[in-house]
Amino acid sequence: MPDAEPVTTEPVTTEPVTTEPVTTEPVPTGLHWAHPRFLTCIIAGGLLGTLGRYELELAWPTPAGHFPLVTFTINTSGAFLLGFLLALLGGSRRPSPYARPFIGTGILGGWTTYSTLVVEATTLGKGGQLGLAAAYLAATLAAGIAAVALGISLGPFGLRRTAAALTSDPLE
Amino acid sequence: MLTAIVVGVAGGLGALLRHLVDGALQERPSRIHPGSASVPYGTLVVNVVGSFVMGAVTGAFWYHDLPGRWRSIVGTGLCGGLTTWSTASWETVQLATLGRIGLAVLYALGGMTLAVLGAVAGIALGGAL
Repeated sequence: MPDAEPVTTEPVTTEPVTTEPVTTEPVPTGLHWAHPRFLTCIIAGGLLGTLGRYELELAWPTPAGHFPLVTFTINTSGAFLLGFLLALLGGSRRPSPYARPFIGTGILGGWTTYSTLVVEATTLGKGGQLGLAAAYLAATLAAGIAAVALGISLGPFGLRRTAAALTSDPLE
Repeated sequence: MLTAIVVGVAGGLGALLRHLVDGALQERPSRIHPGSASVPYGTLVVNVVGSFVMGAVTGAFWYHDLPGRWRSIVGTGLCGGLTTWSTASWETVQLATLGRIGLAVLYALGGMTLAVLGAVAGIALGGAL
């Protein structure tokens, strides 16, 4: 029997074609999530967002018993901008690792407020206007969700593809 | 003018605290990862606690002559920075896009209910002390 060359089959390797999934995963920077650089971004952004909200509240105080339009506008705009920001970052090849802590956690986190929202609603309720209080909370909730969706839809991938990407397992 | 700066700084510290609580309570690096969607406890905790504290200074302001400046610094500033509506809305939408509609509804409505209860309790406490 002639010597037979052992048949070896080299595994065929081809680079899999991958489309970068839209993701809101933090950019791996090697920096700990509580690194001073991130914390500085967050404090600075939070200061700016809070200051803006404070000044707006001072300039246009809501009279007692009225719909808190200023807080509503602030919260809804913040939701929109966060949706837009995170969609932008998710679609970017090299997003800055400081954009989310500074603009998202910082500015928009300081700009928007949950505490003022519910205290205003409670104040309305205590003033006997339970219907207006409930309407304020419901309107803020609906507008917030719609605003986030709108912000995402204006991002690079739009709402449907972003949603599809978020629901697909990136490990597959 | 000085009050505004202090309010801003308080807001920055509130945002910092929110980030630290979030980091301590969430899985790192991903918070909402496909297949392991869960309630964003970090945001929930800071929103409820912040609502309680804001209720407390509001109650103290209403019933015990707490200076308005302190209500602004601790309330508008610290609690305003500590709490967030944008992140809560984003997380609700994320849960929904992950197919967890029920969880999204629970998070949104449950969170709001807890925060309102926190505010009511805070006002009662601030008025009572």
